[in-house]
Amino acid sequence: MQPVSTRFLSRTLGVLAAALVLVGLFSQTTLYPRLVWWFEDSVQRLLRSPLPMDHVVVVDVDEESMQRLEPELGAWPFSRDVYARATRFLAGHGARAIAFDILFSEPRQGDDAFADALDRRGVLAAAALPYPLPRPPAYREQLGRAALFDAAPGRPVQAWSDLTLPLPKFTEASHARIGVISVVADADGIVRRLPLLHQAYGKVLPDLALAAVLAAEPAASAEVAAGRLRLGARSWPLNADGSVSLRYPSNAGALPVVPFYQLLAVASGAPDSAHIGDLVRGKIVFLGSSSAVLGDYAFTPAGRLPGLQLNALFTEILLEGKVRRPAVLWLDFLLLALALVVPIGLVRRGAAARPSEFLAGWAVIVLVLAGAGIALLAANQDSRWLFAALTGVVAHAFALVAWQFALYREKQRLFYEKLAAQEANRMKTEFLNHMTHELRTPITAIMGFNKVNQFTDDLGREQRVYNSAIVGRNCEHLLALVNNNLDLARIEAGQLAIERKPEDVSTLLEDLIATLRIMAAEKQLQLRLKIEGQLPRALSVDAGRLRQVLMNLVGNAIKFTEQGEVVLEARWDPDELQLVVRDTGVGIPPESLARVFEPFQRGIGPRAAGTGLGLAITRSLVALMDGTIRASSAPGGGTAFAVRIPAAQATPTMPQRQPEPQPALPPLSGKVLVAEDNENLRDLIEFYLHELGLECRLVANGFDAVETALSGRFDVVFMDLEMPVMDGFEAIHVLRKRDYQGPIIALTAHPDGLEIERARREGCNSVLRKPVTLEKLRATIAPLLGEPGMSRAVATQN
Amino acid sequence: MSDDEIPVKIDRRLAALTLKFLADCRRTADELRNAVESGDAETLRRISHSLMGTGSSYGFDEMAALGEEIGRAARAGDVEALRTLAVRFERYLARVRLVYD
Repeated sequence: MQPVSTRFLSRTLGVLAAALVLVGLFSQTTLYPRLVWWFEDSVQRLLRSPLPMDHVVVVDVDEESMQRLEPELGAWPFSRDVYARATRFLAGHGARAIAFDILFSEPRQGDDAFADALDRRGVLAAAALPYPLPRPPAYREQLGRAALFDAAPGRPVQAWSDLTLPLPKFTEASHARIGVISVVADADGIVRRLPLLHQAYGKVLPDLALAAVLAAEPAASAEVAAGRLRLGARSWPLNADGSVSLRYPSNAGALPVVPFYQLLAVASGAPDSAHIGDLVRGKIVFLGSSSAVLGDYAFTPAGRLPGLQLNALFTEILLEGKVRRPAVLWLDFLLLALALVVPIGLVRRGAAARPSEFLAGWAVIVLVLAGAGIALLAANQDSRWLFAALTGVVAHAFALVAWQFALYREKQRLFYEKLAAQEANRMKTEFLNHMTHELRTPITAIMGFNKVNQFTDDLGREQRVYNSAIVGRNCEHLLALVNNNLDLARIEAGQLAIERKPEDVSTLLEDLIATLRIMAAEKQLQLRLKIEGQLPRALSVDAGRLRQVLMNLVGNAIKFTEQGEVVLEARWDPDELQLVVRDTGVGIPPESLARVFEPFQRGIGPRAAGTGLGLAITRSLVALMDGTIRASSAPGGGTAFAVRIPAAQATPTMPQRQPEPQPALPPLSGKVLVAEDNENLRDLIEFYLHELGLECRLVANGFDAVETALSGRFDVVFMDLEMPVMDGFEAIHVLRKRDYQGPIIALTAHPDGLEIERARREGCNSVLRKPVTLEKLRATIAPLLGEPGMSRAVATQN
Repeated sequence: MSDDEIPVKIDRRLAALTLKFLADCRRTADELRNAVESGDAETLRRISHSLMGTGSSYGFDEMAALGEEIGRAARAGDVEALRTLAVRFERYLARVRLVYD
């Protein structure tokens, strides 16, 4: 699993890094904030609610006021005693604060009257300048007195180069407050934030709206703590630049507005039919001009508003607490994680992902993040949801790219796998063809000779037996083919298990050599076992399979060597058994040598004996035993097969070898005819046959043997070959000639093979060489009686 | 047992038959002498066969070996050898002792 997970990790990190870099870069462009604002404004429009508008009143020197008052007061700007009259009226009718959205920075007629009228409830406007002006010390004093607190590093404030303050005479005696009327618009010119704290010359002044609130609630003192501005029981979350993010109401136009001329009329004694006095009681009054010519205005999400109304609105918003909390980092991380769940999940799926998943994922990211953003805004919480959403979408796109790469790799892999599968199929077909041919050959021979035996009338017993022998040999060959095929199939299906047990390998090798010595002797070849050094007492090997492999290799060596010797060399390196089978045969040419382990590769020349599968099975077995096998040969120079098998030293199991327990042999049953001239031997045989549980009849010569056999019903006939009157050969001959089908066993004392050959030719089924023993009798009779389970006895008899 | 004697192991259950066989063997020894003197090749051959087959079957291996030698000598016509073999046969029979297991 290791390589897969590291690949997944690197892919994921790659996608994440790429997405973050791209979106990070994008977030520095001007387009990014516009997207944010567009979304926020839309959501605000969706979610906005009306404000009660019961905290503020606007007294507006509008166009109509200016027209009506011109005859009396002249053109704007009015002399300031007008404002004194207004102030006295408002104060007298219970206004909590009176804020002037007019810059009184130049002296004018009526200043003194106005300064008299002002008191602590008054708030005068100051304006920010982007460049510093030379200021007299009196200015600094006034600034110091009006400031909330001194500037300090890390305090969230809006910094200015300079502030234009109202004339000192207005604030000196009256202790009226100063509030800054400058606002900061976003890059698209829309005012979404209100700076509450303005800083210039090391002093921090409040905004006009804030100053109005301070004037209305004089008991409270302002302080900044933990990113919030506290004012008594109220607090507002501050952005890093000392501003608050505003939530505009749906009814910005519903501010209560009193035209200045009406106020002045009532202040001058006219009847208060509009109940202005009641209107202003307990309210914060803003006095200024909304005239397009004289007043300033600003663009807000609630539309274009005159500065006067805007300031009143600000105060209302502050008092109602409709401000948004700034973005919180852990929340933004959460959103980011949320957005990246889908892309990472798709990267993980690799080639298995489907197009529909990508589409669905994209939709999920967008919807989920937008939903989260909206929900947060509804809860007055700003968030960097757009960053998260964009990162998610871009990561998604990169995941798509990674998916394409994975698909391509998959396609390549499948292509090669298809090629491999086609090749394997071809080889299987070839094998099948070979095998079919191999199987057909012996079957054809069997069918042919059997048919001859079956349907030819006067074939003669000798010929029939000869044909049967051929059928028999082909049956054995067929069986060997089937067994080998089965072995190969089982090996391929992984059903062949190697069982390692502690084995005495030296003994195993000696047994093997002893078994094959006869085969070698028949061809007059030398068969030697050469063990280098000493093998450990016991090695952990699969004895049966090891024997199978060596039988095949040594057997092949003997089969394909005409003269000389075959040597089996054995050596043990720590934990590895090394065996070499060397012969002095004709050798294998290089072209055949390369394919020598493949099935049915028999090469050219007189090497066609065997099933053609032996070496293939041998190689598979060696591989299953985690070993290696190599063949080396040169034409005319003999062949050597080198096998290396991992074999650890093992503790030998006690006892070394269990002698096979002889099971109780069941008694035979049947009737036996014995033809033997020697009386003593006849008695002995009779005794033994009775021991075996058989009935027997005894005759002393061939003639009687023939007569008795033909007339009686005997399961087996024993025929001594040396008898008077008619010897065994003749008797057998006559019996067979007379169509006697029963089994006949020849008895002879002769050691040479000629007699035996002759007896077989006459038609006996088997030969028993004297001395006669109980075991030999049982061994020869039992198979002819058709007793099962006797094959073991037959095998040991040899 | 003295050094002279030849122990032969036989199955207890075959005791009776074996004794009968040995008794028959003494008669065979006489037949052998006569056959050697008279040059009866047929008899010699039959005796040779019988000793090899029956003798070995009853467990008397030396008797079987003798039988084989008699057969060879008879085929070769070696009268002297035959005489020696006849003596050896009689002496063998005298020295044989049965050991039952």
